[in-house]
Amino acid sequence: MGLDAETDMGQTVRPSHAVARAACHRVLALAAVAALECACTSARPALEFFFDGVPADGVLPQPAAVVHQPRRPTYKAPEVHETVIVPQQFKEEVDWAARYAALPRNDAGDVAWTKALDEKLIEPKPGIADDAKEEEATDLDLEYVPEGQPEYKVVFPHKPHTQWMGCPSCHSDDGLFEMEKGKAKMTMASLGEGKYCGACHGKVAAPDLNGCPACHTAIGK
Amino acid sequence: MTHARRNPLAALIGLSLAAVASYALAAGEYGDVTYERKAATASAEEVPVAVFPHWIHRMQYKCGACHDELFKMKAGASAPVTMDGMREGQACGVCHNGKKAFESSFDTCGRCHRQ
Repeated sequence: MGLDAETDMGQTVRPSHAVARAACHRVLALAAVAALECACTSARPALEFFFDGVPADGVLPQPAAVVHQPRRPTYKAPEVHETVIVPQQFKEEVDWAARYAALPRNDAGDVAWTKALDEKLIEPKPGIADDAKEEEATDLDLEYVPEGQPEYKVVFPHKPHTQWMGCPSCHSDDGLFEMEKGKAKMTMASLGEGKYCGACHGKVAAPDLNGCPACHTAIGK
Repeated sequence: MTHARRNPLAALIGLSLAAVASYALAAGEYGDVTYERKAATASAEEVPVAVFPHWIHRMQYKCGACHDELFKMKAGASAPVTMDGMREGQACGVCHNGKKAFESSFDTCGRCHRQ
């Protein structure tokens, strides 16, 4: 309508620079209006074509909170591979001191080992090896009668000795006693010097032997 | 190496031996054997001499288990007992090897080396 008029006007007017410029302006204005119209109607389809999450009309996009990662990762203690060496446990649950204190004692207050063995209060192994065999005890009593002093007769019992140890402990080439009877010239003094019976009795074996009658059996009677 | 003496009669008669000294040293239990230190590697102040308690061994083993093959009856007659030897399974090390009985280690010094 207006355009027609103007066109008519342009056709009627002699072309000049001013007219051409005005026409150009009109075309440009027309293009601008068309572009504006196009932009207003096609913005959304175009945005949705290119982008995801285009907000609905009238909704302002809310910027997501910026979550900053820690500048360095949280320290985690490395997994420790510990090698725990458990000391070997021995059967020390036995209270040996208490058992020792409960062992029978003779009149002198010393442990009566043979009595403890006979009454099975202790069960000592015959050898270090686990399969050590018990050796049979020698049951042989020997009598020593000092000359002219029969009341001091001594009886030596092999049995309580041999149930603890073997023959060579006393009978060996350089041992305490020769096998032949009567070779040992024993006196109380020599015993006290650690010879014969005194090698053990008074040091590590029953020291007092219940006093004199333990060996001088006739005295006790 | 000396045996502790407690028998007054035997002690009286046998005074000529080192009985008095051993009596004073081994005031523990009857039959304790106090070893003499022969190595000059440690002083008595640092490490007391070793004491062998007969009593706890007697409760578990008969005399013949150790005598006379492993140890001579006579004190001092056996080969000297050394820590190295025990680690190689000699003397006490026959049993005290960590298998049969506690072994000689820095955890167990005081069980033998005691005042």
